[in-house]
Amino acid sequence: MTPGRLEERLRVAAALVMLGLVVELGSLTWRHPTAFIVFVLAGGALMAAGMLLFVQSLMRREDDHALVDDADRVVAGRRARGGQSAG
Amino acid sequence: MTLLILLLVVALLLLAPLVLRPSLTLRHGGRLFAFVAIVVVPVAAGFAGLHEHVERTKTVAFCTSCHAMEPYGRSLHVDDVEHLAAQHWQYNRVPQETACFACHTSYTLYGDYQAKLRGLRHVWVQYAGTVPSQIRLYSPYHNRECLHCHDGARSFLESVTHRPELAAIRKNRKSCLTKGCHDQVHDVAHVGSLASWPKEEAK
Repeated sequence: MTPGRLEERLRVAAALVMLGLVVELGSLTWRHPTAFIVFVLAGGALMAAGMLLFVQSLMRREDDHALVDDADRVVAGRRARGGQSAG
Repeated sequence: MTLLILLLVVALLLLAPLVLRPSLTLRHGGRLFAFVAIVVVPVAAGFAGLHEHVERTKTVAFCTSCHAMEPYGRSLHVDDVEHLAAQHWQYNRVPQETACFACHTSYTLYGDYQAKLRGLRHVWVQYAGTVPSQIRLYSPYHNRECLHCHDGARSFLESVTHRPELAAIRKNRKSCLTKGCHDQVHDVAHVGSLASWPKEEAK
């Protein structure tokens, strides 16, 4: 994942959690059974979506790093072998 | 409540830099900050909010905010000590603010959770189902809920009417609400025509 795409995903994740918190804050000013449902279903769902997106972004970034590390190792191995055969 | 609002505001403030400048997370320590701002603080704020909402569900104001429950709320104000719910509420035999929950939760291990699940079902019925014209308990009222407070009290144990029936009452073989005992609980059918106490608070 490119840094730009990662940043965009993190922005969306943070915005979703923020929106969830605003919904939860709003539901706390309303004393009605529906407020509880709004808190759990709307606020909770938005926050959970944001957190999952954040974790997924980090995991994909870790995968990308692992791929780069593997590629580096392969290149280094080839160079080492090339050096031995030349010697 | 003030602390909860403060926590939610702090959570929002911590998220603001991530929305405005997500490149912060690419710097050293940025990922840790993002984890705290996106996961740790919002989860803490969410649980605190959930706790506040659950506490609110125990209040009389919450229960009677549904139209179907309004007469039950008014029955707490009936100016007659023979009315069990009114007597308990008016004489502070249950906490006035949480009177409904005090009597209508099962004093068992998972009683509170069962009450909350039933509450969710009530909200569902309110919006997606049909509210029954006459509201009934799911199961006959269990003496355990009365004895949770009354058993062991001198006024209960030494009562001439309770003493000969103690074993039957404790084993729920004879209901506290038996006709002739405490059978007048919520007289919702006539609550509009009964005198109320205190007059200025009754609706």
